[in-house]
Amino acid sequence: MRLFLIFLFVILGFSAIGQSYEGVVIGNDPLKTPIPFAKIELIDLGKILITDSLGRFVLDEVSAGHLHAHVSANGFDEAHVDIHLNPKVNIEIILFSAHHELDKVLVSNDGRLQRESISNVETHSFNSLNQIATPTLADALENINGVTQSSTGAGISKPVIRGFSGSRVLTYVNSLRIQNQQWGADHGLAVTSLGIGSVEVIKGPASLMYGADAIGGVLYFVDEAYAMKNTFEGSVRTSFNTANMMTTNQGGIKWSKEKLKINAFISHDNAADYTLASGSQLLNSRYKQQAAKISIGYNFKKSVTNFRYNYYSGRIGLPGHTHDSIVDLNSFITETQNRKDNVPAQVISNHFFNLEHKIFLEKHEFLIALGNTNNKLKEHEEKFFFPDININLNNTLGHVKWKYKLHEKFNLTLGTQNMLQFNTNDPIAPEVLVQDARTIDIGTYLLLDFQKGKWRLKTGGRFDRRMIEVADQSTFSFNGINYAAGFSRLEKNADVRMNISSGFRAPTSSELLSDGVHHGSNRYELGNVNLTTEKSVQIDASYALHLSDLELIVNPFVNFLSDFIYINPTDSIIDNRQVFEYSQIENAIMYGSDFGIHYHPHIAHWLHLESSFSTIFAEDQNKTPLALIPQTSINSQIRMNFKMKKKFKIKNVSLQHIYYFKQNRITSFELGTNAFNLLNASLNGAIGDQENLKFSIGARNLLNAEYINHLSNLKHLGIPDIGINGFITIEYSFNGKK
Amino acid sequence: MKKVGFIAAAAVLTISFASCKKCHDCHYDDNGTEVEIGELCGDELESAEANGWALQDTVVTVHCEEH
Repeated sequence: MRLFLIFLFVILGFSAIGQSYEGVVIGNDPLKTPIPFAKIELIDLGKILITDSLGRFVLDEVSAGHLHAHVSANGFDEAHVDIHLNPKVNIEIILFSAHHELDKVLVSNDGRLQRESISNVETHSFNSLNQIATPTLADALENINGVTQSSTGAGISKPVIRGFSGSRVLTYVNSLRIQNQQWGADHGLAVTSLGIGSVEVIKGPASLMYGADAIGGVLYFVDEAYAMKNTFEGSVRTSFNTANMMTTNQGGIKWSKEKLKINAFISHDNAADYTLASGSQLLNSRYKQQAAKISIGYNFKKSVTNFRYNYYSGRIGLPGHTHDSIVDLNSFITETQNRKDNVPAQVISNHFFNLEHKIFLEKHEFLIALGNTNNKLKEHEEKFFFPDININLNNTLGHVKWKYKLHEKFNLTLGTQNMLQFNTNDPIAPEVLVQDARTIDIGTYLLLDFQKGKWRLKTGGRFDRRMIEVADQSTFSFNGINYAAGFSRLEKNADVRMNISSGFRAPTSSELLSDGVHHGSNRYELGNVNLTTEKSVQIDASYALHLSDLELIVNPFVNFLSDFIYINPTDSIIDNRQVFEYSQIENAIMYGSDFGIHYHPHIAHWLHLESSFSTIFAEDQNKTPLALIPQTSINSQIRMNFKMKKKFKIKNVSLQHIYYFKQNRITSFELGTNAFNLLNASLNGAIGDQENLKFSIGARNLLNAEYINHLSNLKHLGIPDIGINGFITIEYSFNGKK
Repeated sequence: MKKVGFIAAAAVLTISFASCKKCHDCHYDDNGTEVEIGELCGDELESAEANGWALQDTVVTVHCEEH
């Protein structure tokens, strides 16, 4: 109690003192021309400022120290800057003229996580990923080089980072780690695009900052920013997709006073069975889902508090189910498109709570984050009212971080991340796939950051312990020690970065204890209590060239894996299903590279040409390929931007071509995949002087290609992916001052 | 204009979240042949799934998924 009172006193004490700082945003021209109406987003504080007509701004009631800001203005390159608040010195932020207005797609040296991680991080605003509208968040993420998705029909999709997915990829929403039985290939991403402002992707192991399981990468979703103080914003959005007659309706409101800020969003999606290239529909690929979220922020003078709650519920059809004795593609398709509830299906409900408090002092920065996530998953095989599996996963999480500026050039970060997880089955559900279990994760890390001139060095270490107690009294414990080290050199026209990072993943309770039918994957899964931790060490390098009209990036990597856990088919049959058993490979290697080019000719400022290439190879110590490695792909896009001054404006027209190479490096129990082309197109426009009404029309898979992605969970049944899919989106937004 | 926006949003959300009674066409298997029972709704459907479908001297398992 005494400690709590001291803690409260300290926080309130911090809240009592604050100062004002004046600053200006100027251009990089010799006259240092002020930039009016530039937008300054103070990321740590969740505040947005706009400069006045002379480029000036005032930062009220903030204590001395360091803040990170994202600054943008029409005609200038966006900038991420660290602002040093000193009462004796006015703040000066310099923006560079946007000769080229290149997107951040090829730039991997910005973003909030980038400052803390020495791993390869890419930051993308959701809007930039969604230039050609995508039906799901995982579809949008596929526009990031090195990120693909595995899917089960249209309703279940999960991101794959450099060949890793499931338990090997951590998902964060703000500072909250999300868990949703993600070990299952048919358990999709637990986050929708509702209220998401940007996504940051770490490619490769990142256990140093994120702990156990971050062996393949991290997806870090950041909510949309709050409205500027004393203003409100709102929007309603509706969209329609022709292939599955999907309607998506969303609404959102943002309201900010001087210190109090609130964002609230709600959405509903309803999709019927999707249409194949042949014109038939895939039976039971229908789904419907609802989501809502609210964020409440409050700014003290030296600290900021955010409370966030996310809700999701969905009923997702599981296609690929039949009672036919002779099974072919006709067993799974229908000529009648339907959206009525059916079985088999997953019924999911999620509740995510997150409370975080950040304190900023001159040389210190503290983060205290507490959260709880609850994921309820029901799998109905043949009955509407009685699920065969009914499992609840509850996580309570805590993260405390202290950042200290040791010296002008040195920063130290010390933190601890802990988790208490309960996996509980409904006792009346007829099947138990994963036994009841309690999991405790404890992790502590230390990070050192050194910066001098154009060089930046980072290094750190971490210790983790995972303990699993199973209902049958058996216990498991795993330890992990991880490290990371890297450097970067940022020149005016080029960046060089190299790092080495390790990751580890303790076996999940599903890998240790599974013993039952998994309806989503239509197989009998058998755990293995002899599994040990899986380890990974990745060396990642990147070179990026930034010219006024051209950007190039090359990013090779190699990842050494040991005790790699995988699920292996056996010859046994239980309950009329093939038995798959978890096993381990002693050593494996993954290597590959991402390339990107973005050309924006001076003679045609309205034209953008982008292309990216991504390839991965993976094999074990016997040179046998690993399973489910994404196809090599080339993703090219032409975008034409228009600056119309009429009330009816066409903003841009985009054409995207994606070529997926043949995948024939497969395991003995996998099928190869043929090469295929996808062509997508869209036209985005706006109506009105303030562009309050926006619209987007276009089509995905414009050539109506019949294809099966290598990572489709329906591939072994010969079920193709979605055919041509036209879409239209209309969004009305409004705002005002209070 | 703002009012129109709010009313439109409210209408869309109300329609989207509206629910209705769930009914499904059900059948049982008789030596490999599907025998149609007809449409079952609500409590009747729940009871048939929980207890099976009573024929003259036996109780059979019902299947109500769409084929």
